[in-house]
Amino acid sequence: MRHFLNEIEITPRNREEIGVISDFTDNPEVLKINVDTIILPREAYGIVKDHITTLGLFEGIPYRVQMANGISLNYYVDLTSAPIFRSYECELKILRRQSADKFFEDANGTSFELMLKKGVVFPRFQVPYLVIKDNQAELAISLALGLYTMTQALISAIKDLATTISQGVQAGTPSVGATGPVIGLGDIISYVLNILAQVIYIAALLVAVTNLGLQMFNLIFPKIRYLGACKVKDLIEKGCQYLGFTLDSTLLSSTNFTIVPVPLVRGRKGIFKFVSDDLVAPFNKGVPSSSDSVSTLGSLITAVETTFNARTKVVDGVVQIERRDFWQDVTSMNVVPAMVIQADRQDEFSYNAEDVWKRYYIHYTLDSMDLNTMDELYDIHDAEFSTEPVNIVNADLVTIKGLQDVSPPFSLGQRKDELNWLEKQAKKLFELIDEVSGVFGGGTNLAPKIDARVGVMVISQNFFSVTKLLYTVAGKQPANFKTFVSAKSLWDKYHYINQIQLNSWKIKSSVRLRIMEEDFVTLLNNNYAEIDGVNCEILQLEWIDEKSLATITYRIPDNYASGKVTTLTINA
Amino acid sequence: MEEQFKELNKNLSDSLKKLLDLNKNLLKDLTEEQQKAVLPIQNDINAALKAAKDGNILALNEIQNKYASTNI
Repeated sequence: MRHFLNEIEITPRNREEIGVISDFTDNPEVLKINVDTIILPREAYGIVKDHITTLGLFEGIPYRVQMANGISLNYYVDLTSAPIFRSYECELKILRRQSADKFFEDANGTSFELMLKKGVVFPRFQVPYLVIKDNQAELAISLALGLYTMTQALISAIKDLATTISQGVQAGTPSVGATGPVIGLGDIISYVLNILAQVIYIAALLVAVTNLGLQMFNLIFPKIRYLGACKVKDLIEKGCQYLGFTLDSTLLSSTNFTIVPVPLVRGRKGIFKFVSDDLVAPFNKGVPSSSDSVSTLGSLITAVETTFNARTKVVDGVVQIERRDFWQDVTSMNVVPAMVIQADRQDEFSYNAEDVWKRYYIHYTLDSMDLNTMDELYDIHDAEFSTEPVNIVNADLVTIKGLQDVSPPFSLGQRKDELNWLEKQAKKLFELIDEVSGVFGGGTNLAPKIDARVGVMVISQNFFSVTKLLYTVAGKQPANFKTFVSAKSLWDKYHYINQIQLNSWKIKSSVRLRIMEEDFVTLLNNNYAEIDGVNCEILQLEWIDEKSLATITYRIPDNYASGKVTTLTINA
Repeated sequence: MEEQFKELNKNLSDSLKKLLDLNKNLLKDLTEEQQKAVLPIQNDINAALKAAKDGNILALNEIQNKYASTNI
């Protein structure tokens, strides 16, 4: 290995201790050196001093480790991370450039609002929604009163009309005069005026009824409004681009998961100052704000990992987000030489008992400000499973334990599948209003508007407090949206692989082996390898070429839990 | 109640039609002089019908005020 500080070759004092590690567990680190500090004497120390003089502490110094076959590991010296300066040497921390470390550090500090401010253009779109409050009974009373008032008005109008018509018959009847039968002009004028008065009365009455209907419609059924939203994939992709990375994720590309941020933004209209009809502009920015549960790129990626049982790899500036076992499924098997067990070691292994759980609980967040999350959505917001032993001899000795708590930081959004009872009632009323207003021709067309409400998102008031996760097609959730977003579907598609029957392994730790440099390179992009004829997962690989030493920790698929336990579905 | 309302509305609509037909027939039997006398009122009836169709309550009010101010 050769070391370059700002592209000038140097020799760290701890050079012989420096090896290469690939750690594929949790947040995978692909290729990092096995120390995080380097000790730089003489000319390297001078380069550091010059850098501090010219650029200061707040920009790192490029550091490159070049391996024998030309592969370079790009790092940077972080001068803000506890540097130690001595008279003749300095001890500094180095971090990977374009790596998971660097990516997550940047992502955690990068909010979507910052990106908006910096001019990042997100492909946002609008999600139509309705506010349907939990005061349906009160509204029904208003509707009944409206219907009663209109009925009374009609009865009164009909009565008056009947009187006028009978008076008209009288006025139109000629009286017998000296020149024969004549119609009195005074009677005629009086009668025509009566007709005019009736027409005006009925017209005014019907106009008033129509206006009442329109106002009731707008108050009881506010028009469809819109919230800004963005696909999860687009948010992460744009965020990665902003940080200088690219996203490569089949998990996110194949789905339409959508984030609807909370409607808590500055400069919006106040709901107490405007009638609901005026509140037409979206209440949110379409990307998560500081009030959202996923306000930064890092927190969104973490939420995606939690929700979809995913892992993130960052390799050479490419951010890969996939289900935990993705790399096992898509990579071709790589053959590495068989292990050489050292004479002073016995073969030893352990089981991945830490992956055993008694209870697996997937649950979205309930939002007390949107009662829909506690209404029908409650039934799909969680899924609960239990690992049960098949045969028990001593019940008190059963050691299955632990809770896997999967808590996506989102709440669900309700879809309006059909008209509710009040809307069905109201539809009849508005059909009547449409008829009444059409007595003179023209008229309103309110009833069909009620049908147009089906398919949009429903919230119980203008504000909600938990970021929503929807599955949208053209801005609306399809009728079968529950098969994508329900907790049960998360289990069925992403989390079921965590059942210990499907996830049992033997683990062999710190096993020495001979490995050629090209094999090591092959493993960089694929941590699954065939060992002794079995496809194994490499958990950690350490290689120090100065000492010709390589050790691996890996796990071998096993069936120790098969037939011994079953998974009981408690809620789903 | 909806059925009753629909019937009432039909009743109203029929009665209004009957009234307007009566008015139309009455005008046919009038002399030229009499027709001339009721013409402004007929115009206002037509204007009221148009205002009703347009839902223009202000225009209706204006027609009504015209007669209220002349104490007819």
